[in-house]
Amino acid sequence: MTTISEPAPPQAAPIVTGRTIRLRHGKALLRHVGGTLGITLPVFFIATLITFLLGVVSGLDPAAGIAGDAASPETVARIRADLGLDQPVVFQYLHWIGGVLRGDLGTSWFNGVPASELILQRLPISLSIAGVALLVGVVFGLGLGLVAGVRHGGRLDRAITLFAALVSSLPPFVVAFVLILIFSLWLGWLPSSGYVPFADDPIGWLAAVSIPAVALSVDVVADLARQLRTGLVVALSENYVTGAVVRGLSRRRILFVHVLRNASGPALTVLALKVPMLIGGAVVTEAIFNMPGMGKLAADSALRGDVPVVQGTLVVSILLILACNMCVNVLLGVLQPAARRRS
Amino acid sequence: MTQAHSGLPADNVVTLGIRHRRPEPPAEPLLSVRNLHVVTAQGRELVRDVSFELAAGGTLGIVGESGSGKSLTCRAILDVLPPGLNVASGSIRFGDVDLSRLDAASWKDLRGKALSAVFQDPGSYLNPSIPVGRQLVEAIRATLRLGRTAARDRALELLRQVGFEDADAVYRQYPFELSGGMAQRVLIAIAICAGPRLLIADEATTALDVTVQAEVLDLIDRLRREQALTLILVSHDLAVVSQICEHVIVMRDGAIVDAGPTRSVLGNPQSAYTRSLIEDHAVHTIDSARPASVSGKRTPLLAVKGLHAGYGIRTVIEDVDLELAPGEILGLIGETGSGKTTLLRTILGLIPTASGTIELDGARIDGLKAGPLRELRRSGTLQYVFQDPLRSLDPDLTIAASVTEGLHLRGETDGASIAQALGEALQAVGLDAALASRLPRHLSGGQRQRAVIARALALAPRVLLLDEPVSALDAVNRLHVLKLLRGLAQEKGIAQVFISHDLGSVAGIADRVAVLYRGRIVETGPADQVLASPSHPYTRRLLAAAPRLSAQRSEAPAVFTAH
Repeated sequence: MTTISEPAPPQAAPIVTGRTIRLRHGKALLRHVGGTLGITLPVFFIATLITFLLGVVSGLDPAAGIAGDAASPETVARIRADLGLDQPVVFQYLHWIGGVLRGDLGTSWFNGVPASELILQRLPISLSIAGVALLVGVVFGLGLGLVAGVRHGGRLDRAITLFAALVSSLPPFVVAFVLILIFSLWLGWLPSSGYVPFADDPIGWLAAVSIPAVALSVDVVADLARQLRTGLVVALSENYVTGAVVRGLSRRRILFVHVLRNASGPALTVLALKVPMLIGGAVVTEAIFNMPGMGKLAADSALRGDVPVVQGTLVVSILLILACNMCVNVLLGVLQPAARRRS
Repeated sequence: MTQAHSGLPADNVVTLGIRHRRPEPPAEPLLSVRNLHVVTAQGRELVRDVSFELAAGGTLGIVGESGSGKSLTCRAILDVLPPGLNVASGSIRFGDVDLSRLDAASWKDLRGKALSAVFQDPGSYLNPSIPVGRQLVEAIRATLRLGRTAARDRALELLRQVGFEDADAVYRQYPFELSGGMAQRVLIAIAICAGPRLLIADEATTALDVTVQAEVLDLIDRLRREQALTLILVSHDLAVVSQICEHVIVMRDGAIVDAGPTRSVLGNPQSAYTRSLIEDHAVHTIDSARPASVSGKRTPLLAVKGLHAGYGIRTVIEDVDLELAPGEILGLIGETGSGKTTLLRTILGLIPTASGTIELDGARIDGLKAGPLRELRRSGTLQYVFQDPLRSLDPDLTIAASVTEGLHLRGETDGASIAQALGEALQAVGLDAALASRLPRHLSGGQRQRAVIARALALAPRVLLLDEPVSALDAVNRLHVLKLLRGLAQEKGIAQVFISHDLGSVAGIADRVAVLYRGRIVETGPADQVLASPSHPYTRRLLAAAPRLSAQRSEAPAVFTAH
């Protein structure tokens, strides 16, 4: 078509092609991922340093325990030297973090078993609970938030908002007791304690995990629903929604392709903040349900003064939390390039 | 010439002859709005009894200030009224469909295909997270059952059709990477992708640069001709509408106050409001006479020499020389990104100079640091009026507190003299003293702008830097503020640098004009001379792009023979 009446270049810019734009966007994404890593790494080192210092300031000395009551001071000093405890704290940290980076979390002061082995035994249980809780939280949180946001101002929205406010004010252990009361004692459908590995019996695993997971997830459901609702209400009032309506796009397409993407920012951020809560909540829940998870290991080891194991569980928690935060951050950057540009 | 006295009867007389050849009325109206009322949930009527008809292929302009109900009328036609607003009564017929009682499924068949629209602030009408090409393809596929590749080809072709030479690149760009004019072109491409019959352009060129505005208007007009579009063009600017539209409706407070063929409405307005709109335009259109000029034979109060400045490594201002005498108003014009605001901010000391000098009353003020800089600022010699009055007033301070804040900072403690200064400042800008105790959000746009100017005046400045002080105001308020500034220059000898993208305002107020293009002053001289016979091609382009009332343009052949 030769209809352009006057050349009128929209913008007298140097020649730009689709390729250069694609290159530019690729670079921006790489920069974003790099930036996220650049924040995550220092956080990892600072968090592990604090973890390590916790062990130092605890004042616990394994040498005396190992040597026994009747040992001479020389024996104790020799054991301390063997364990490297006579070195300056900085060297001790470097030595320890070097091991951590190679996957060596040290050995239990209590029974000499490598901490990583102890943790690996317990980790699947905690991950099962936290993972199922996360899944339940995301599915129901997003579902309820979506309904409330789309029907905002309506009766359903008010019911969901009320439910979320009510439920988020209940601590997980209270919810857990109520669930045990109903599903274990009255109905007898689910066990009130114990754990079955997934590989042994998937149904039994689900039955064992479901009450603790649901109890933990309640808070996530409430917060996700509220954040997504708010995000949706804001996004639905944006001009581009009006534009999409006028363009003749279907309601479903507008909601799922256009609105959800821009509305999910706060909900995703809250989700990242909730992951530590889930892992922390596992300690309490595992105690209630008498499950041999990582939380219980950490609690028991802390009571025994088993510093390397406590440090190990903390390092694993830090890794999990940072990994989740990184995923959410990268996902946000992919979903909302405009937000990425501002940071 | 007799028919020029009243538009509509004359119309009838003329069309009678044609009816013999065509037994039915000229054309079944494509759009017919009857007694439309739009109300809020509280029952307040925002659009009252609006009726009009638009024939297929016709062009209708709707003019009015913000809040006149012109946009709501369009949104009622598209059924996208803001939440809480409803069509209370009236009918909207599009072809043989009654739009006011249409279910969602039928709407989906109409929107985008037969009816489409573009709006003000184009960037916000695109999803910020998706490249524009994909959004264009999505619109194409929603309306014209096309395959992926076919839709992509069509999208690229449409992008070229709306004037992108690098369609391939634009296709992949995100909305935030496009300028306002580019975003509006993309939206126009989306709007016309399915060959609609009716296009509604709601303030589609507002807030764009004059040159860009002219290009976009041109594009809309060209597409309208090529594709036999029926067009509704909504604008607060009578001149924009009069350039393109055959018919025009003037709205005020939700009701139509004037309607008819553009020429007769302009030539023979029925309402006082329309007359005031036309007169306002006449006062500061480019063709009009400028207020008596002050001779520029005085020693400069503000002198800028060889100024370079920018952000970081990017140079925005290059080698700028300026002189400003007491009582002189210098109009600074140029498109967005030409460095107007940067220049003012550099003079103010908000942006460091890279090289060059700025002298105020013979003393260097560039490169001042801490103490001396604070002293200069507290002295109030140099004052700045920002573009957006609402955002440049502290929302939690009353007008009185904002206006007198500078006096307190200067260390004045005498309550009586501060009150007197406040009274004088408010009086100078014509702001009712009773408004002083109000918060900015309780004032109208014009009152806020006066409050901002009063704040500058309270410090008895010698130089005022004004960044688009009238662009947020409607015609009536704009005129008041312009008169006020002119008066300040003449009576108090306050020198002013005046930025505006509205060349009419500049022509009406400035003694001298400097044209900024890509950070350089390409032309400077007495306002009447520069605006009447520009020498630089960029100035010529800028002037040619400015919208004018077409009544003035078509004054000579204004014999209404037959429409």
